[in-house]
Amino acid sequence: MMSAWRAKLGISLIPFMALLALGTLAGYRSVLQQNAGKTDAVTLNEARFEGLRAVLPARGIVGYLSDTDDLENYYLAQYCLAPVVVARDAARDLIVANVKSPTAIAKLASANNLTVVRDFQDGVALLRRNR
Amino acid sequence: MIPTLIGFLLVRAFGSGPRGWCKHDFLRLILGAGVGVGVCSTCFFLGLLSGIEGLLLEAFLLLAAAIAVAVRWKRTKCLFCEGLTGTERDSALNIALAVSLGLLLALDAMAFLEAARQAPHGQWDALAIWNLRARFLYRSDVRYWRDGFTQLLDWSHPDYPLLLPAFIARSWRLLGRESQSVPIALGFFFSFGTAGLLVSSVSVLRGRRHGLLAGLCIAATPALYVQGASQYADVPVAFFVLATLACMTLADRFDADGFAVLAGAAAALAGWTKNEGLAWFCAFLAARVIVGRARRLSAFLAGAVPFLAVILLFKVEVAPPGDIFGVAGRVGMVERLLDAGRYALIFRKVIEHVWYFGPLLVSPFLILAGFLLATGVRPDDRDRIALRTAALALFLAAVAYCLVYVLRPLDLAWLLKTGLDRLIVQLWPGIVFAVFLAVGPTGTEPQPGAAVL
Repeated sequence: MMSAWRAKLGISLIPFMALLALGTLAGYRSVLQQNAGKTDAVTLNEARFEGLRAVLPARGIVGYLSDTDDLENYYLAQYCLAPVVVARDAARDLIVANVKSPTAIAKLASANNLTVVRDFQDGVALLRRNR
Repeated sequence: MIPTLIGFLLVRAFGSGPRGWCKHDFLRLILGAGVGVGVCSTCFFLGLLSGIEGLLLEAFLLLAAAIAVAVRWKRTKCLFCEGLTGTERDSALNIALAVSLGLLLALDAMAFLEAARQAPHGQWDALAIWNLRARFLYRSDVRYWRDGFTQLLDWSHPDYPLLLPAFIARSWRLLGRESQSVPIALGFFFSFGTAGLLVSSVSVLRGRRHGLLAGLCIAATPALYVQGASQYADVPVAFFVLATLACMTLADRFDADGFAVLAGAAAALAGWTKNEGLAWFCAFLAARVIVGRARRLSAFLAGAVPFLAVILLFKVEVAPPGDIFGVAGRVGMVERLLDAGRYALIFRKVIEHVWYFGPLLVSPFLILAGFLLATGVRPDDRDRIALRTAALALFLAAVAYCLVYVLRPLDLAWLLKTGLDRLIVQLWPGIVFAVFLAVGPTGTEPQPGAAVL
């Protein structure tokens, strides 16, 4: 027969675990509080890409150029522009430019034989391949 | 509402239930809501494939489930209530445990809601995989819904199954607009539904005190709720893993094949959620064949086959090749398989992540082992097959997950760093369930089916 004290010991371990979780939750809460009030990256990027999304075709594939190798920015661009497929290359008629430095748009266009169709500001532009 | 209603009626039709409301309907409601989400997402997908409106399929299923419940109306009964051989007294300890569980879950919920408020689109995997696919399904003209399944987007794993994206797109279509409240609510349901399913199923099987203690264990694992708020698919997989184990144990305990059907459905829905879920399905099937000598296997497969057929349809008709068995994945596969260094790194990292899981100051695995050691292994005789099946299935699933790490053609250290905790979350509620099925009584002797929730 299992002794009563062993059962009590067993039971007491679980509330102990709950107490440890309180500490973790308190730490997590303080981390969350540090970020309180900040707008999330997706919402910020939805606003950046809003104008571009309005002029893109309803479907199809567009290219993508950037002045950084930051994949996160590319993923965010695809997320905002779906259901248009954003291919991470410049071998398309229409190319989305997503840059950090505003002067990079013209440089990217001339380096890839592209014309700036429209600059939407904030580092977003639509480029077209020159025939 | 529709998914919950369909699922609840299906659980009532297959898994018994009284004419009126019963205290055990809490279990049926949670289980049903999970199954309902799966059913509605498959209806939406089949609707896209066939051109028939998915809602029409849902309405048909709702009607069929309602008819099944009505047909059984006269001889309907709650197996759990019938198995009641006494009432468990509500001791002061049980009340204290219930209050602690409520408070801890409330704190988990606060953390969940704040995290969801700060990242309404979820963390990276959620927005790059599940929510992105949902946007493709919802925003595309119905003729072009396959646009998002191109290999140009192979970084977003277009070969991953569609339970979450299809359900989110379906709900947006019903709402008539995109709303992040849908994936957030889905994450909330699966996170807290897992806790509810664990408490209710363990209460039925081992008594209320065990149920509350199991609930405290799961509530004391913030990783589950943080990942739920991140809208990761690992939490729904965890729900279906637990649902598989709970339903099969109930089927064995109450000699009810209907619950084996539901176990099959839950295991297959894990596969409709994520590729790892397919590994879980195979692991559970193999364990059941080995331990249970194919007992209730036909019922289990009957529940699984409809969803497996949908997964097969998706993999054959829609999904591009994945990164493991695709052309790129096959290059160097044998070398990776024979590389002892990969196994050593995986082993080291598994130990490390198990140690820091929670994250708590002391590993919850260690605490659970201490609990098991203190109370002793004394399962109910009727649960022995289910317990052995659960233990073997969880072990085989863990082995399969490690094998996937060995084979994947990506930076292994990065894969382990970013994914291992999530894989542990997938199995953690199942592990807690198995432990509470194994432990001896902790005071008041629980009665079979005695819990009141």
